[in-house]
Amino acid sequence: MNHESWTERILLLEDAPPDPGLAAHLEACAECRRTLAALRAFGSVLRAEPAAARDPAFVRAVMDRIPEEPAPAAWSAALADWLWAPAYGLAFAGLLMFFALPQRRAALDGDGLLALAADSADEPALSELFGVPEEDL
Amino acid sequence: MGSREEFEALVREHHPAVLRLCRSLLGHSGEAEDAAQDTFLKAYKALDSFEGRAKAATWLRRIAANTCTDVLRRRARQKQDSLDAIAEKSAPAAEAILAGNDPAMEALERRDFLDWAFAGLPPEYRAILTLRELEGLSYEEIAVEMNCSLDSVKARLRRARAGIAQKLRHFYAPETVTKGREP
Repeated sequence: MNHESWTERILLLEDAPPDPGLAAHLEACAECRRTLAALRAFGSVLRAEPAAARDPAFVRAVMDRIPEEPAPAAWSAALADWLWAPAYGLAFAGLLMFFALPQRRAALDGDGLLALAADSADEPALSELFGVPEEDL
Repeated sequence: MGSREEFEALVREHHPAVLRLCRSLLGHSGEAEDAAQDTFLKAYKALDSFEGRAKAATWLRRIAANTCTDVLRRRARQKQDSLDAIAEKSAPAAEAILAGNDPAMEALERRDFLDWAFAGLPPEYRAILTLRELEGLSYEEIAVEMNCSLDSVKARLRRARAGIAQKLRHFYAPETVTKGREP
């Protein structure tokens, strides 16, 4: 195994199970011992970060940056419904007109109009209804 | 979870761990405090997406690591010119720091030393190495927290350590390194 391969194993040594082969190599190789020593010392510096104490001021600072009470979801939904109510009403009215008007127009066109005329022809004359001569009306 | 009181309890419980991680990644600065606060604000906004499958600590650590990585990226862009100055200041102190001769190491010194050691490496490498060394997370846990693959975690850890070893190993003369023991 060449030197680079040993170096690779050293770089992950702390994360791996004990490696008897590497231990033997370290006994003989001063360069690799230097690399390992440097890495272990650096790890110690990283781990030297002291634990942080509990800090009520920090908690307060965080909570001060959080909005007091978000608008409850139910309120938001109700508000949205209320705002949209006129729009829903208009849309419903539009739909009604859309479906109702063509039928009304059809009733006034063609056979529908003749039927209306026939109906009016069958109706009694006003003079008959009121019992007076037509010329008096 | 959802009420303000419950969230305040979560902040009270987890803020020391979040602060420690942020300080480790960013140094003892206003930036670290801000990043820790931002972590909780992001968490509050994303409460709906917290499915409870992960522990709250894991979820918060993930947000904190990502928040700090963003800060490191910004810092790297802004301070590119001053890295040389940090190197000049930190390199002489590195020997004492690494030898453990300075247990009362000033926070600023430590931050500068870490900035110098990590200089030139992507911020994600710093986050991953810190999660491994400081938090003792497994590769799998890091992969979840950094949202990357297991292979990516291994590769980044290896590259981070290689870069740092390259920078630091010359502080160790071969004859001063005891065989089979830590310095």
